[in-house]
Amino acid sequence: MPPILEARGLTKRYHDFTLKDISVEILPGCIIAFFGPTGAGKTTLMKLLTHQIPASSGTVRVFGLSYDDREKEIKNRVGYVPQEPNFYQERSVEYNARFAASFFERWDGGAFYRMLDEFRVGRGKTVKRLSRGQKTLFSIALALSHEASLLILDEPTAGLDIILRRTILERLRKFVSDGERTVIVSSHITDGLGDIAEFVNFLSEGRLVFQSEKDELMARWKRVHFKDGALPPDLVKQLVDVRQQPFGSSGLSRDFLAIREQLAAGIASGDVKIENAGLDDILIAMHQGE
Amino acid sequence: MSAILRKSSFFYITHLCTFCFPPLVMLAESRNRGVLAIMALWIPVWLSSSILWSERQESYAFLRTLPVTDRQVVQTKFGLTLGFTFIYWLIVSLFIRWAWGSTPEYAGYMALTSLTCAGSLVLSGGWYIFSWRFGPSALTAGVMAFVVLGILTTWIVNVKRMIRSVGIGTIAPGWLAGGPWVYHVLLFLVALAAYYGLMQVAVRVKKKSEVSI
Repeated sequence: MPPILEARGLTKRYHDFTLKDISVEILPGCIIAFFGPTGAGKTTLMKLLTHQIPASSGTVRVFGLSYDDREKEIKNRVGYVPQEPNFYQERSVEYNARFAASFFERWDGGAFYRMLDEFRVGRGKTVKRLSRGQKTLFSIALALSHEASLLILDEPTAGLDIILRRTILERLRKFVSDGERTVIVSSHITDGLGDIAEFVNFLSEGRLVFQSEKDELMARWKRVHFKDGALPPDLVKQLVDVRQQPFGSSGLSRDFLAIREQLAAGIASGDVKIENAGLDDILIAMHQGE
Repeated sequence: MSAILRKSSFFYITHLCTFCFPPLVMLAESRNRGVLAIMALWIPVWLSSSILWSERQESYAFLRTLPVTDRQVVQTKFGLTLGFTFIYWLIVSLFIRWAWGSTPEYAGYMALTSLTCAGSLVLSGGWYIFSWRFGPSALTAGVMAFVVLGILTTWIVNVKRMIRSVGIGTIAPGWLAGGPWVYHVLLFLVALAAYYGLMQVAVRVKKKSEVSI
């Protein structure tokens, strides 16, 4: 299956920050998340993938096409939700929507207005009077109304209440359910997005430090709870993020499958318990380089 | 493209009315045909001001998310300015013809109008490049300084002329005012060539521009 998006050696240099040598290959029919702390380069990467800014070096191909000669065709099939949507601030939501619609080859106005109603964004409201969350919702409605095959969202759930966040996540899940459309999403929080993503990437200080299938990641990383003295010291040393807890200690195992045998006796005796690691814990451990 | 045209045209039309109205009121009140020169001399001021307001209200970050290329945006903006420059030239020419008829001053006023239109075109190309390279804030400072200077200069020069009841058309260069009409055409062709060159530069600048993105 050909990739829906392919980036090779993507680099963007600023005087105080460099996004270095990012290479990713994204297949259709899935949700891919880019996580990382603030300032890791997520927004820069999203802007490069959608051709908002030119790359210092490297290439991006979307649907097998290059932005150099097929920009219009690509953007007709990509829905982009920026971190800070920049509409015409003095104009109404409806004006901005009509303006955007005039550029797209396909436009489903009915679906757009239904979404606006669902998101409780007033169509006659001036954009400058919308909250940040409402602007994001308006942007999501636009991105979902021109029959895009690829959605790229930069921090889409920031500023949304839990009900709307769940609504958005459900929409994203539904969007990819046909197996042909793809969602790329970036966020500094894993809450919710971690649950729906099938592939997880981690950016830190302008580098892509990790990319994996989420299930594989979750299978390898486990939190091990153990009573003091229940594990041999060399095994404890292999754990990261070790914390003292009321009944003993706990730590993260980077490769649970490799140590499972050594833990079997402790698990059987009840001195060792295993639970799934939280995505946040894993990413923090990676960020700290433990 | 028509959406960009419609949105930006608003600023050109409102500025056209703003800059045409005072000279026409003065003409009606004073019956001094020399005031028509203000309309000619204000063409660069009017165009610069229209570009400034149009650019300040523009959202290139939004446009970049839409299926439109930077080249198309640049061509649309340059085309719009070219079109309105022609409209302004036509309006001023008609007024001058109506006011001066076939007098010798007519040629001088027409030469002045053609010169300011040709120069304004090139200046407009420069403003666009400046805006996309340095952002709307820098453009605001540049254009505002130019507009104030332009209005003051025009006012001072023209008032003196009016006092002496001498048509300002006499300051137009003799080679254009006294020459055949083909000289006007040549002047515009040169200006258009320069404008086209600036447009190519503007496309490159716009593609690399991260201002307001």
